[in-house]
Amino acid sequence: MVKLVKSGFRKDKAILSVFLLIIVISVFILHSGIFASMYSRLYDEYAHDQELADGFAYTDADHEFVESVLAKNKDIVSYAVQDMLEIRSIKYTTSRNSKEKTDIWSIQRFGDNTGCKNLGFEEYDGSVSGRRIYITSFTAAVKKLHTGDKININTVNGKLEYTVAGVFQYLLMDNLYLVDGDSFDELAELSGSRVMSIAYLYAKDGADTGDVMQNVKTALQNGGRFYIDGYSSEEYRSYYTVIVNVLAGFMAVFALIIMMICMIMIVFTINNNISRDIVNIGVLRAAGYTVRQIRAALTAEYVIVGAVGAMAGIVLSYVLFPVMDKGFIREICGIIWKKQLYPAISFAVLAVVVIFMIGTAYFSTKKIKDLHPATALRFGLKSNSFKKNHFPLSNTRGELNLLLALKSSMQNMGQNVTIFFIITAVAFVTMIAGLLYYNTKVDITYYQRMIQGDSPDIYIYPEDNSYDSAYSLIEKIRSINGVSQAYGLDSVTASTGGVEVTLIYVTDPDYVYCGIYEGEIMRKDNEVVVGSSVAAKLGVGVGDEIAVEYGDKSRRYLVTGLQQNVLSSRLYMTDKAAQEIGIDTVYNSLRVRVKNADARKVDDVIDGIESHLTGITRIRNNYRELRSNDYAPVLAVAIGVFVMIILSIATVILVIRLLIKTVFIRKEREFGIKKAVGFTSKQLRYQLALSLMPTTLAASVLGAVLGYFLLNPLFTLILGGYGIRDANLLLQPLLILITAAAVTGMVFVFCFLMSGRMKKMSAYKLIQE
Amino acid sequence: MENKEVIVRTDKLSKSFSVGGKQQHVIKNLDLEIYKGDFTVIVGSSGAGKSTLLYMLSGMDKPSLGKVNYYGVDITDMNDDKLAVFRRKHCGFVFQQIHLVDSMSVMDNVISTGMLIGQKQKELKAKATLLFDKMGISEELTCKFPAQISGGEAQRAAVVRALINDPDIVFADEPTGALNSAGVRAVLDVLTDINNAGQSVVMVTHDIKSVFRGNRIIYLQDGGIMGECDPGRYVSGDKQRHEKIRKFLEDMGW
Repeated sequence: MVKLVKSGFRKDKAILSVFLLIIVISVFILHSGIFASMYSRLYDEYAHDQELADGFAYTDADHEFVESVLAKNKDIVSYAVQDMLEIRSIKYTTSRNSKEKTDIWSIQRFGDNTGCKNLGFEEYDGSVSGRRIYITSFTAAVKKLHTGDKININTVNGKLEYTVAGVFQYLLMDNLYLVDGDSFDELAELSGSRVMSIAYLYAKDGADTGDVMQNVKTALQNGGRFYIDGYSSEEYRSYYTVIVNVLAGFMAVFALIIMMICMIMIVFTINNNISRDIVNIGVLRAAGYTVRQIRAALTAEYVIVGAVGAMAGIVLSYVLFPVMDKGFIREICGIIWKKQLYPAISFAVLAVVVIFMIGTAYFSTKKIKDLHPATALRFGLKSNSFKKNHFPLSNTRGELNLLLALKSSMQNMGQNVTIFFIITAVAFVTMIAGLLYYNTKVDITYYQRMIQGDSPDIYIYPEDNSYDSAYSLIEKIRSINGVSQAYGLDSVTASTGGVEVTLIYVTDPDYVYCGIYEGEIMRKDNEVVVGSSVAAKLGVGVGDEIAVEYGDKSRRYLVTGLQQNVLSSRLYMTDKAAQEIGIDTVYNSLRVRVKNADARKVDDVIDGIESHLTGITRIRNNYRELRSNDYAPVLAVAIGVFVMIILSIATVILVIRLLIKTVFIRKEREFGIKKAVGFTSKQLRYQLALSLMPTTLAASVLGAVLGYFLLNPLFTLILGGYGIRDANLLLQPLLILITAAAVTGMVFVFCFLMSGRMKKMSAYKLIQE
Repeated sequence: MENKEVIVRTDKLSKSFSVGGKQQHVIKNLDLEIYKGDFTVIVGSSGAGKSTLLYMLSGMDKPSLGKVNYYGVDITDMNDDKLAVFRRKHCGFVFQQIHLVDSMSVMDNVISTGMLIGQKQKELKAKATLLFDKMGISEELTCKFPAQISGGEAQRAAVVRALINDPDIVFADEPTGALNSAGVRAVLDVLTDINNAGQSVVMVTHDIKSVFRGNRIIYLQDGGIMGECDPGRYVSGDKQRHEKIRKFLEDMGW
């Protein structure tokens, strides 16, 4: 038995090595995908280790008032109130990037309570002199900063240079910066920003942190119209992990697709090998080996390859995942990967692969189950059942190579079925990649809206954020050449039926995209559009009424539509409707859309606004930002697209390589005869590649069409838990054609190139072999 | 003999293989001319290098040393694809294992070879039908796959394939080796008939009945020509001619 297995390995080592590679790749992706899905768990572990607060709220109320509110809340076990600077448009450059950027920063004094017992420094340099700044690992990853790097902050009253003295993992605010006490006061003074109070809360065991946060915010609001914001650690966990979970979902889907391809190829290869070795099998049977022993030996080859490949893939995942974490995942989720063994996951993956190999290989060998040795020795398994002579050359007009390729294609139905399934999967993945590329690099509107909601081309930050001033500025902006829409959109935290919501009020509902999947946009002052998760919690639908509370006021609104986007509990209403419950409808920013926007037109409109309008503190080119790889959702998709394209190409190469190897084994004699009578190697390679085309073309079109129709359901499935009910990414029909042509072309080219061995073999040798 | 036109000429032709790291010289410095219109039979004991020589003469295999000239053109240094084009235009092949393509009908085996040199399908069909008819293969059989007809029928079909492009030479490698006695006779008669019609044939064999069909018999041993006999054209029942050949073979130690 061992000898049989050894001999099988010797004979099939080329094909087995290809399978080994496929399994290493698929297990690596599957194992890494599972790792990627573990960031939520990792967040909880870090939160536990760091004794992370259950939430935080910040407000412009003073410490005393905040503490008095927190002290009254019976669900809060402990709290800490600290100073915090929130600079909403801080301008800075770094020693890694000299281009000035503008962000929102939350700044605390180093040493103050930040809602965790230890900061978990990843990098720390106590020797840094001058102004020191400590940044989160998220910030460090996105801005590519390390200890010793400089950050130069430009305030209206002067410049300040900071040196990064530490990088720490912080799980409550990705934009928290810590500076020394003196620097904090200096920055507050120079930036002119007001020092706010930030409260870190620890809730009782079993208390709903969402409710606790809501109660605190309501109590703060009731105390006097303060600016209030804050989040629970659960909300931050979702915020940190949503994109990486999408990536994990896609990786798992790809790994399964590759596994499926591998399974089909194993069935195909084992069947071919049995046909090739049928006489040997007959000899073995005649010598006394039982069918079970022979099947076990054949199965063992693939099980060993599966087990070795799986182990290699798992090891590779352990080695490369920390590199991937540092390279790009941390930019997406901000959580530092813990390098440790995850035996349960690894053993489960290994077991799945081994079981899958045993099942597939054993199933594939069933054709020899009832094989009699004499039958094998005399007739083999060849049936020569060429019952129909497809495209007879005497009656069918056409080019010789094309006709022979078509004949060959029609006579290899088993091979066609294999190729059909594999190429369908490859085209599906390629189509998804193409559509994702289209939705992030060509027209990001719908993707952006799905992730974040309304998305303009330009943000304008007015000096005066009052309601009247905003309307006046909007009118002026609309007169700028190239502007298609100008409108205001801002938000406050409110509640409805005990659920905390982000209440978004707008100047012009018709300009705002809010992802309505049922009903219609609100237009009247008593109407509201409700987010999917809020509607689910309240059990309301279109036509129902809900009571919205803000501060001490409450009013009922008619639900006209339900909306969706990732991670939001939202209400949309007109600003006049918002005023009905006492909201001071200020607009900290205004939004602009450009006619037939492209990068140049957006730049032109910005130039126009800058040169014609005053009373503006800052203009943000959102069009360019969204298309930049600095934007995490785009980065995640870019990585996904890259992986999918590489996977598609690698799969096609491996499958064609495997196919050619089996075709060479099966058709060596035929190629030899054809070469002998005068077919050139080029003709035979051309025929071989061409013979795959009918099936490949059909499968490519099917795969592309499936990708076209399943992209949005797939996104709905993956993002369903984050509030997406009906994903509506842009679908470009032209991509079906491009994908089908690209995949078909790729198969043809690889098949032609990889059958180059034909050139090296003389007709004599091919016949002899 | 001096008036005969030379089709193939070899110049110090050698072929060696590496077996277990040791060089085995199968053909050694062999000089040979093949003449137009001849039925040349290359005979010899097993392992004498007969098939190796045949495949080098036809451009199917490359010599280790020496040259093969075809109508004065050196084909030795031609690349694989050029040799394929050379073979389709100038050579026809009949193999011991018949070697029709299993996945094509008998007719398609022939027509595909004809289409290689640009012959029209309609004309090819007419020409093939005529040849099949000459070979005693019915139209019904031509529509079948090689595995569905007898060995003798398949070999005669292979001869049709060899002739479809009107080659300068038909190379036959032990064409009767896998046939029963009726099949052997039928195939040899076909080869004799086409030779009588002017077709040059080079046949490798170790079958005495096949040897009788040649008008030029070359005896190969240990990679070199040991002797040659010119018994004249084959005439059925010509005992004197048969005796001459028998004597030649006896002298060669066969």
